[in-house]
Amino acid sequence: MALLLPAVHQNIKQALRKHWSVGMLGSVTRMGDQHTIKVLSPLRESFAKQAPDPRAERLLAFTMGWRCHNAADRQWKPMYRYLQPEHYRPKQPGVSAVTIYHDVAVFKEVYDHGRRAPLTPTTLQFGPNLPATDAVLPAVALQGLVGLTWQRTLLMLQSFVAKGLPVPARFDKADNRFEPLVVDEAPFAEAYHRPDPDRIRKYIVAANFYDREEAMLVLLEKLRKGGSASASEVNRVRREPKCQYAQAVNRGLGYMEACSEYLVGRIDEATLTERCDLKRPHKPPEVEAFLDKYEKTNTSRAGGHE
Amino acid sequence: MTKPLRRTVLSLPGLLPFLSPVLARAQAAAESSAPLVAGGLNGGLAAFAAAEDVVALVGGSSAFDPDVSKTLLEHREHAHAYAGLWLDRSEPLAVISAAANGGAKPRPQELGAALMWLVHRGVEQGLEGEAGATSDRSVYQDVGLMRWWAGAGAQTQVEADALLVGLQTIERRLFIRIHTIEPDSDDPAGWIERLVDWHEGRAQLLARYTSVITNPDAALWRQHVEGKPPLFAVKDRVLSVLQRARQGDRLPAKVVLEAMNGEAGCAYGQAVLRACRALQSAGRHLGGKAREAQFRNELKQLALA
Repeated sequence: MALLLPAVHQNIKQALRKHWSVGMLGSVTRMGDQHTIKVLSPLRESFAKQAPDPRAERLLAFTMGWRCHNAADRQWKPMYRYLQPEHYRPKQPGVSAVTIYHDVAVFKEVYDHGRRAPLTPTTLQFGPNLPATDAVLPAVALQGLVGLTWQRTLLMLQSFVAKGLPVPARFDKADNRFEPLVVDEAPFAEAYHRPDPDRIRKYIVAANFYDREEAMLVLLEKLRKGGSASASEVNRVRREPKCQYAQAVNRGLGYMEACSEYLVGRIDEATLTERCDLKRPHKPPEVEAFLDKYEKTNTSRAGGHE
Repeated sequence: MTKPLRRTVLSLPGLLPFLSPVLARAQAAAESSAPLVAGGLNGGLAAFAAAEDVVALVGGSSAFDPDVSKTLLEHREHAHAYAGLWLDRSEPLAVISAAANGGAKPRPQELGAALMWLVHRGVEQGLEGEAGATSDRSVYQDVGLMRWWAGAGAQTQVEADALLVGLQTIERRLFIRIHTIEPDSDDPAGWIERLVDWHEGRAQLLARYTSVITNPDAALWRQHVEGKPPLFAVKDRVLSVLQRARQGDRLPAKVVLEAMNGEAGCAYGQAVLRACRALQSAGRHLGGKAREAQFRNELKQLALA
C-alpha cells in the first residue's frame, strides 16, 4: 500500500519493490525505535539528489520493515494485555495465546495459509517429516541443527566479537546478544489445525482483529493478488480503519510517510520522533494501571477462596 | 556447478559478498599465527551433527570426566555458539588450563565454550572442513548427512521445488522459534548489512542443497561423500554406537571406550573420535591426571593445537 502513497518518496518505493525480503527481516527485529534515526540520518544528505545505492536501498527497506514492526507493537501490545491479562499478571512463561491466535489469523488471511512468500504452506504442519518431502528430509532433526548454526552465526554478526575484549567482558556481551530458541511452535500448529472456539470468539471476533470485509482489508487482498488501486482509493480506506489489523497497517503507513518527509528534509529529528512514536512506550501507563487493577482483584479473589 | 562457482567468487570477491568473510576466515585458519574469526570454526551441518553426536555420547555414558560432562551438557546450546567467540586458538586452551590449575577459575560458560571449541575443532579437522561452510566439501557433506539420516528413504524421488519448500519451511519455523532478532546496538547499520548478506547467503545455500540432493555432480559426490574413506559407512561400529547415543540410549562406558580406542571406517566416525579424544585429554587435564604440557602435546598429536 505504501507503494501507492504520494507522500512516500519514490526512492523508498523503489527500495521496497526491490528489497521487500530485506524489509521482512527488519520486521522480525527488535529495538527499531532506538535505531531508526541512527540508520536513516546518514542517508538524508544525498537522499533526494540521487537514486540510492544498493546499500542505502537495503537499509531503507530494512528500516521500513522495522517501523511496521513497531507500528504493530504499539497497536497490539496494549490489546494483548486487555484481552488476556492472566498471561501478563503474573507474567506467564511462553508466548500468550492471544498473540498465537493473531499470528495464525495472519498466516491464514494475509499469507493465504502459507501459500504466499516468504512463508510456506508447511510452516504450521507438524510431524517428524514434511508431507511433500517425507522420507527424504528429516525436518525436525535438521531444524535443530540449523538452529544451532544460526545461533552461532547471529552472534558472529555482532561487532563486539572481533573487538578483542577480555574474555569475561566478551562473554557478558554474548550473554546479552545470544538468541535462545524461546518460542515453542507447537501451539501455533494447534491453533491452526484445532482452534479453540472460545479463543476465536474472544481474541479474533469480539476483539475485531481481522475483518476481511472491511474496505481496507478488501483493498489489501486485491493488492496482494497483484491488483492495483489509485491513491485516492487508498486514502479513502485509510480514513477510518476499524479492525485491529487495519489500524496497525495505517499506523505503519503513517510512520513510513514520516520517514519519507524526514529523509527529504521536510521535517526534523524531533518531529520524526514524535510522528513515529520513537520515545513513546509500547504499553502506555493506562495499560499498566489496568494490569495492576486486574492483579489486585484477581489476588484478593484467589485469597477469598483459601 | 559448484566448483567453478567458488573459483569465480575467489576472483571476484565483490560478486557474492556474503562469501568473502567465510573465505577470509578459512584463510585465517590456514595461517596459525593470524587472528581467528569465529574461533577459526567453519563447520556446516555435518560438523554440527558430529559435534552433537559427541555431546550425545557424553550424555549417554559415564565414559568422560565428570567436569567435562557436566559443563558441556549444562551449557550445550550456548557453547555451540560461544565456541565461535575465541579470537585466537590459545584462548580456549588457556581457559581449560586455568580451570585445571586452580586459582582464578573461568566461569562455567567460558569453560563450556572452550570444551565445545575442542569438539568442533576436532570434528572439523576430521572432516577436513576448513574450506568454509559454503565450500563444495561442506555442502556435499551436509547433503551426505541428510541422505544418511534419511536411510532407505533417500532413494525416494522428490521434485526440486518441493525440496526447496521443505528446506525453507525449516527456516520459517526457526523464525517462529527465535521470535525476533537482537540487533547490534553498537553498529546498527553495519549489522543490517551483515544480516542481509547472511540472509541472502542462506537462500543461495538452500538452493545449492536442493540442486545437490536432486542432481549431484558425480565427481564431487565421489570426492566428498563416497571418497576413501567414505563420509559414512554401513555397518560401521562407531556409527552404530553414535546412532544409539543419538536416540537417547544409555550406553555402558565400556562400549564407548572401546569405540574410542578403535578406529572408524568412515570420515564422520573418525571426526567424532578425534573430538572425543580431545575431550578425554581435556578431562585428564581437568581431573589433575595430566599437566598443561602433556595436554598441549596430546592436542598436537590430534593436530588440534
